[in-house]
Amino acid sequence: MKRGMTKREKKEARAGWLFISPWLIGFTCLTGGPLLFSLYASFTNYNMTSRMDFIGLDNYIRMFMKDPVFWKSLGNTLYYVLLAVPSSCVCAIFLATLLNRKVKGTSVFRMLFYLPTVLSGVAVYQLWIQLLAPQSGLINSALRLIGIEGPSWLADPSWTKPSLVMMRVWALGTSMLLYLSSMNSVSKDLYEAADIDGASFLQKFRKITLPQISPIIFFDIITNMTGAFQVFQEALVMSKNGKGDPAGSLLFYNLHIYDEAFTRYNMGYASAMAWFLLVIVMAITLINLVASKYWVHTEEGET
Amino acid sequence: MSGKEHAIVKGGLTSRKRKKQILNTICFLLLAAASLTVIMPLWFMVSTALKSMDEIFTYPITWYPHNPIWSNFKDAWISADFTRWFFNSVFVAGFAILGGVLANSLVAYGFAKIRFPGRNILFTIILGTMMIPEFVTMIPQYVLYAKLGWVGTYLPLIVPQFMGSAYFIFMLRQFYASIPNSVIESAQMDGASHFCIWRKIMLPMAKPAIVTVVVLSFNWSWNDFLKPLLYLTDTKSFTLQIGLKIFVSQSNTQWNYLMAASCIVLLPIIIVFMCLQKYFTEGMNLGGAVKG
Amino acid sequence: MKKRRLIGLLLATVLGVTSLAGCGNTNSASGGGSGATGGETQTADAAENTESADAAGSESSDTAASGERIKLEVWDWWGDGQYKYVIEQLCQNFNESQDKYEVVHVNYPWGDVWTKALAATAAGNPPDIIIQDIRTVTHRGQANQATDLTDLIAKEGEGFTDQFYPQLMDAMIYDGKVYGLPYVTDTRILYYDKDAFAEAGLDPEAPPQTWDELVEYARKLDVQKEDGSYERLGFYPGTLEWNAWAFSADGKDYTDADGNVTVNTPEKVELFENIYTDFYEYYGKKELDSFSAEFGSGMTNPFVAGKVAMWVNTPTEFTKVRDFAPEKNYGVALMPALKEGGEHYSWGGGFSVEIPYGAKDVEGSWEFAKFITSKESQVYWASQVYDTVANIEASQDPSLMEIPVFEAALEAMPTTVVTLDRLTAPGASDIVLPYLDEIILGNKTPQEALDEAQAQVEQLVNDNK
Repeated sequence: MKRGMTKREKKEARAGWLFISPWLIGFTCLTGGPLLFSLYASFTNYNMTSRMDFIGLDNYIRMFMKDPVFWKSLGNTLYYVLLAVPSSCVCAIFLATLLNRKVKGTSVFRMLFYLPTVLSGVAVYQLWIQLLAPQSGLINSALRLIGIEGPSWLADPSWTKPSLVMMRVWALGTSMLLYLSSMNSVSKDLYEAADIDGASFLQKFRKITLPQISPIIFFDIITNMTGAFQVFQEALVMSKNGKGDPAGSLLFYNLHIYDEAFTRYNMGYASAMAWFLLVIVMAITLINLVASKYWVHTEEGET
Repeated sequence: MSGKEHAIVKGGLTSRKRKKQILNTICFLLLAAASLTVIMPLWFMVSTALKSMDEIFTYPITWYPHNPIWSNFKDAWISADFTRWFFNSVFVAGFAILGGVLANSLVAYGFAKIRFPGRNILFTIILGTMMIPEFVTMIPQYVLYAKLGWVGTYLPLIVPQFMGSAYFIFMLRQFYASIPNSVIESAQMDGASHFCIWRKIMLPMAKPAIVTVVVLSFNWSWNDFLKPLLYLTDTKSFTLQIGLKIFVSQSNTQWNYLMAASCIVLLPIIIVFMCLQKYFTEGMNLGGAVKG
Repeated sequence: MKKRRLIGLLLATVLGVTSLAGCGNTNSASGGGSGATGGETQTADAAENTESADAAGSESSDTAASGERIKLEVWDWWGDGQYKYVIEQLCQNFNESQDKYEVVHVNYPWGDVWTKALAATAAGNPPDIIIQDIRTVTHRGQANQATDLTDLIAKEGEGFTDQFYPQLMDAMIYDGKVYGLPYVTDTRILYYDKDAFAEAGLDPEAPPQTWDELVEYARKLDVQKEDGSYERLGFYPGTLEWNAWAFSADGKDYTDADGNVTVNTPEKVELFENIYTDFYEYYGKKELDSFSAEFGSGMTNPFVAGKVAMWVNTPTEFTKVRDFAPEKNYGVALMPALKEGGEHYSWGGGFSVEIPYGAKDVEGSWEFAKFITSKESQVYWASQVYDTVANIEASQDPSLMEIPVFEAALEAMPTTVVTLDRLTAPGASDIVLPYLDEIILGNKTPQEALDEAQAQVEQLVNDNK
């Protein structure tokens, strides 16, 4: 019996390695090298073209002790992540729930809500700059209708990050799509059984839908968080000079990395910052992974 | 939210059908209101595309073009080699879809349903690759491709697509996780290999997820700018996104052409989405297998 | 059995992928399969190889040995309209002027062109000529990204570099060596609406000379609506970045070549006191914010729209007025001096012509660099796209003086400070900027904010010693 199991396990292991081999080959031949190279570079004064001397922990020391904007950029980014991730996850689930009902015109709505993800680049940033204009912008005009005097958004350091969060929530098409797919994958039998028991819509949502889509919620939280930690393009375009103004309120971590790497060619330092970011995000992910055992519903009992 | 609860309470008093109707109406109204936020930018794009540069510069902003210039679409398109770039983009995106579906579904199956030593560590590494900002690997990656002689070809855009992407592997793994193990076990009892199970059971069952991969990988490949910019060296081999950016200049951006060309570039994504969307709402084909 | 099919499929995928290499014009079609030796070592090798990148270039120049012209590429972002036409015309002129080289103009999107060039330089296969940001030439000199031109310049004889504005030439030098030639620059001048001046009872031919006059005129030019908001602002300071205002106060950068830090000079403090009290406090930040946001998208132009009567902008900006408000009766003047009788300092940036390190034919690239910075080419450039050119003689060419902005720009050039991102204090202006924002927000007095910024920059200089 026991020997039979090991044999089977061996067979399983071989199959497993075969299945993941496309990624394994890609990682060892193409992507893994540059990754490890950047890890090594973080201990050097690498500038991409002329020097790469080992300088020990100097980059890390500079990062934690000397860089006047490092902590600020990290703080800005954390603020953004904490605001953006929960709000976009909740909104995406809510929207997917609405779209999952077979209401008239859902197929058009689905397309419409997916569109912001498709629209990218300058057109979108232009639009948001106009929407957020304090005087004539649509958002403040709407707020004025209900008697609220809106802030000056992108010009007010305390409202710049919420403005960017709004943009992110607006472009939740990808998450919405994922939730839609996973909601449709829930077995109809479960709902039929609940219907027979006379469960209400909310009860069904809480007892069936949420647990069934929980693996995707977990996925969405992790990937959204990873993406939000790397927020960059918006800040580069929406701040007047691309340096994260006003008052450094849009100086995000990745913007700082970008500046160090491509304006001042301090790629060694930029790599150190990047790897520190990996440590932070990975730590949060692993905590989530452990926590997920208590709320993510899977067949194997693990994620 | 409270409106909905209210509706439910009310619905309880009347028949079930009526309750459903009210709920659907509320849904519709909510969706319609929210979709305004999306229609706005589209309208903004189209109307800017139809304006003359003079009108774009007038203040206050006009919300619709007073003298729509339909020829802007044509003029923008022929102002550069967009037709050729269009087919280049189609070529690259085609491989992105093919590779995206094949590689990621295989790898994700391996991580989700097969137990093997090192699985968790490797998966953690996959997650880690997502978390490093691409700026810091960009240069060594470029140097590596240059050493392989791939710079100036489509290979750096295509080959990695066949090696799986962290995002899709993670995503499909989560989808597979909700497919009952009993299905696989019973198939294995019948002597089916993992490859057979993957092809005959997993792929059809996870159709919504696979279609999601198709839509997303098409979208991302279509909108990718940085990689084509870095690795394509001949103007003839450019993709659409590089072409679009050429309208954006340091000080005098041709807004109307930029928006007109952006509208045309958007169309294929909309068409692909429209064609495929019935699949991700169709639901998984669990059939009798779920019984256990 | 079934597993064999799996292996077959995987093999087919890999083979399919590698056979794709045939599509491109590469000669390493087997690269995809044989690259299994471990990515790390390869990249490490690659990085080391960049140090001897100049060797890589020599192979490719062999192709041109058979009596054909050597093909050179110039990279920039001039991809549309007049700019594209003019640079391609210049390339053509160069190609006709000699028969050894053929220069081709390649444009990539603005900003991204530098990223691409950096990657190409790191891989040892850079473009032959590139147009670069003047602020960071020294960084590229230090990082060995640009070719040292000192010897080539010496061969041109005495006085070659004297044909360019000295502050631009200074920006080309790192450690006593020259890494580029200045191409174009810009400065900031004051535009004012003559009709608005007449309407407000001011002399349309007497633009403000000092800050006091500027403020006085601005008040007269303001037009207020009934609800208290402004129909037209007399003067709007937000078109110029705060750092640029700081430099224009006393014509001094934040640091000099010797590492002296000049952030909290009395002039800079005074100028920010003016901007804050005379504008942001006077109108209210909210009013000015909403003003800047309405126009912040770059799609609309408040001077063209008649929403502002005076503002500071680049000479080239006049094309917007010409194209979109042709009837506008406007004048240009130097930026106001801080005090009566003081200098009219202004601020500018610009672009340089560089030969990336490892370029395959430095001599050919140098010929082209010389050609497009020559007087003739520069006059042509200025007359077509209205940039202020780096070649002094060209910028003074009588044929250009019909356009009023050129005269003002020329007058402004001697007192225009061109700021650099110095190696002794890299990123200093990014560090100071948030402090300047704090002044405008009213959170700190100019003295406080600039003192703090001074301390930060001094720290930075110390760390970089």
